[in-house]
Amino acid sequence: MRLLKPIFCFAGLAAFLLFAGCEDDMGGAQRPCESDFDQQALFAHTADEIILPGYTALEMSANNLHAAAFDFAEAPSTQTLADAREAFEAAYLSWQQVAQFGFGPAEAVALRATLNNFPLNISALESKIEGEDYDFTNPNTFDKGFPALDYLLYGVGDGSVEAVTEQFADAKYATFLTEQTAFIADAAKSVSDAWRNEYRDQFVVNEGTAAGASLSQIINGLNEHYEMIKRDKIGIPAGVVTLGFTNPDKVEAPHSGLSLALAQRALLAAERFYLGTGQNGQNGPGLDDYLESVNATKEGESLNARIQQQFETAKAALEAVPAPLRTAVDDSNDLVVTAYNEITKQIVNIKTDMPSVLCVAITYIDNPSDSD
Amino acid sequence: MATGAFRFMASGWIERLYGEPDFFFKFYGFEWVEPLSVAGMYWVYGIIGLSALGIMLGLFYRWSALVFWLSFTYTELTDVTNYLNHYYLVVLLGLLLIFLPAHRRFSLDVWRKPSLRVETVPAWCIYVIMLQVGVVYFFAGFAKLSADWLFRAMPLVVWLPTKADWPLVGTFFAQPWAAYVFSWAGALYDLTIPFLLLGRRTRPWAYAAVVVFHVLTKLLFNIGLFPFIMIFNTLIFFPAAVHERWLGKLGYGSGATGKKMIFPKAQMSLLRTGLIVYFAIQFLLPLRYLCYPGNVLWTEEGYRFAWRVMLVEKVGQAIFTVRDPQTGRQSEVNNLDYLTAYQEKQMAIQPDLILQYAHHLARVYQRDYGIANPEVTVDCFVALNGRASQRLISPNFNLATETDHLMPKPWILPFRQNEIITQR
Repeated sequence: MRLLKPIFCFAGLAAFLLFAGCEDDMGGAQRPCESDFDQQALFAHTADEIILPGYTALEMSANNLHAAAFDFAEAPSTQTLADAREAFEAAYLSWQQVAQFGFGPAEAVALRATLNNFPLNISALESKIEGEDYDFTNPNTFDKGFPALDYLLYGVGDGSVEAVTEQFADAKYATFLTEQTAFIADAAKSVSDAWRNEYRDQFVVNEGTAAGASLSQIINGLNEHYEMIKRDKIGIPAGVVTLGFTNPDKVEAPHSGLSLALAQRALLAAERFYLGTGQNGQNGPGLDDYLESVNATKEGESLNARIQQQFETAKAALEAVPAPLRTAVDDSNDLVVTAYNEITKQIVNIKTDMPSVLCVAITYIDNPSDSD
Repeated sequence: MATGAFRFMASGWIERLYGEPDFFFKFYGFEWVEPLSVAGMYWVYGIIGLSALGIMLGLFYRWSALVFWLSFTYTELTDVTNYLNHYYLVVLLGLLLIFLPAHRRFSLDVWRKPSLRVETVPAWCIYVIMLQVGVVYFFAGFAKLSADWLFRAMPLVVWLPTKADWPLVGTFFAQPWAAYVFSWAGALYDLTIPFLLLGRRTRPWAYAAVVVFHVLTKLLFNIGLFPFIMIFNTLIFFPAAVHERWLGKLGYGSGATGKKMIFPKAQMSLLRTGLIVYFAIQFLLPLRYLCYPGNVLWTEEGYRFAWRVMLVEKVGQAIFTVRDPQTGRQSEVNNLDYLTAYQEKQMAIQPDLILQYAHHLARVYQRDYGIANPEVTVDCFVALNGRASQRLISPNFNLATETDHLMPKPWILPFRQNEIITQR
């Protein structure tokens, strides 16, 4: 035993030196994860110029929607319906701006699931109306929120102005409509208030790269939102997950014909958030600056430049699709699939590369047991 | 280990591991192992718990050890995505325990049948455990001698700052150099600790290091019972006199029998051959990666059973496309239709699991959509240790027709080392 020890020690040391010296096949990148990027500036700008104005806009447009819906329900007419539809359109578009901030206060009330689960289950909605069920809090049902309004304001009967106004002579429809718009307005207000009151400061100081830190939250939020655009808004209707058999009825807003505009707005919102573009178009600290600060490159070029380029390409491809999406998935399927593919190409950049080079711990899929 | 089994049952992990998935990833050569129903798995874990208690108390020791080993190994074979190095260690130690006379002194078996009692066992019985523990440490340290671990402090530099909210030491974890300190200290610890534990003078210090090291890893990382296993296992390095002193304090002092445990000659030669083969395998398995081209952390060919612990932070995404060769129709797969989120995460970074899953998809599409010989391709990108991602799998291979084998797999793309992120 006495002899063995020095031998082992020597062998260990020799192996150590040998491998430390020559096993440099991992590339020479030095000092990863280090950055003097000011996270708090990013969070403050994102909160003050993007998230808060976004939720405020949603709150205001939801209030307008509720007021217009109330007027329409009181006195259904061509004019009040037109007003309600206009307010609906504005509110639905402003929802797309904040859909990506589903953490914190929005998560607490399951905002996305209560406001925008689609495709709508029409028969479930009809029985909800019949049953005078005004509970809109179940995140697992597809019988409420904006998709329900899309149907109520554009789709009942044959969807014509006459048919819709006629239907709303039924008090159950009228009550359901205003209960639903009141719920949306309340939900928007509660999230907006929470951000204004205490969550904003909490968010700004929650630095670091741990799961649950603000950086991890916003990157996950962006990715969840982006996956929704890719899969639910475009992919499923276009038939890319169903062997090329299209599903035109599964678009986000089949009755109003807003689906394409909603998808475009959602994509634009993702890009503006990534770039740190504020409400008045002013540029501030964004994830783009963070990536530049760590000099992230991929295949020899700047990762940030690749992401920006891909946003442009994806937006252009989506622009090329003729509205409404519901008919385009059949009439111009190749254009929709092209848009889908361009949107998809971004995912590796923002979902795999960005967290990796920013050293964000990706533990949002929780481990069912231990790790090692 | 009994604690471990009961912990599994109490935490609802059994439902999550065996109830939620519809598909289970198999170990090469053990494709025939199927999990039982959730209720059945509760029984298995119950058996693991009881047999572990049997080993601990020394009650019906041989049978307990055998049953423990079989039932525990069975649970480990049911799904590769649950593979952990420390479970593998438990499998190995369980196997060794079956053959060791660990019940002949301080046990209920001796109380039951006093004639079993012996005062000493042959030295090799102690040495095999020491050797096994030493092998684990040494190879774990050996695997840490890579540029990523030593010169980029990867992946600790990702993991440590996530604990920056700790009181007192938190700010230290957030320092860039802290990860380097931990990386180098960890490598040095793993490589030297078996030898330091052997030396009489270094042993108390080494053991203190064992306790500190494992308590720290327990606090820092989500690694379950492993630290305790190592802390108690390494006690075997202390000479019998130390253990006797503690037993004495427990009121179970050395008897005067002085009886020695001697193995019959025939049994001994069988055991000797077995142990030589066993340890030859233990030395060669971790080195088998040398037979494969490329970086083992990337290809994962020769990765498992090699004590590569805590070496990688990998993020991957694998988007599969199934195509009907007759009609040309194709579909992108939503992995969550077939896998749990955890299985998907594990699958997307491990080539052999990607292949198994591709085969599963081919079967599903054949069965559910009547597609004859569907083609399965994958768009798979993996980011390793803080770099931008690269393609892991060639998108040009129809994985449905590729077979799993132990040869280098042509459809795994090599890790391109000059594709690095450059940082200041």
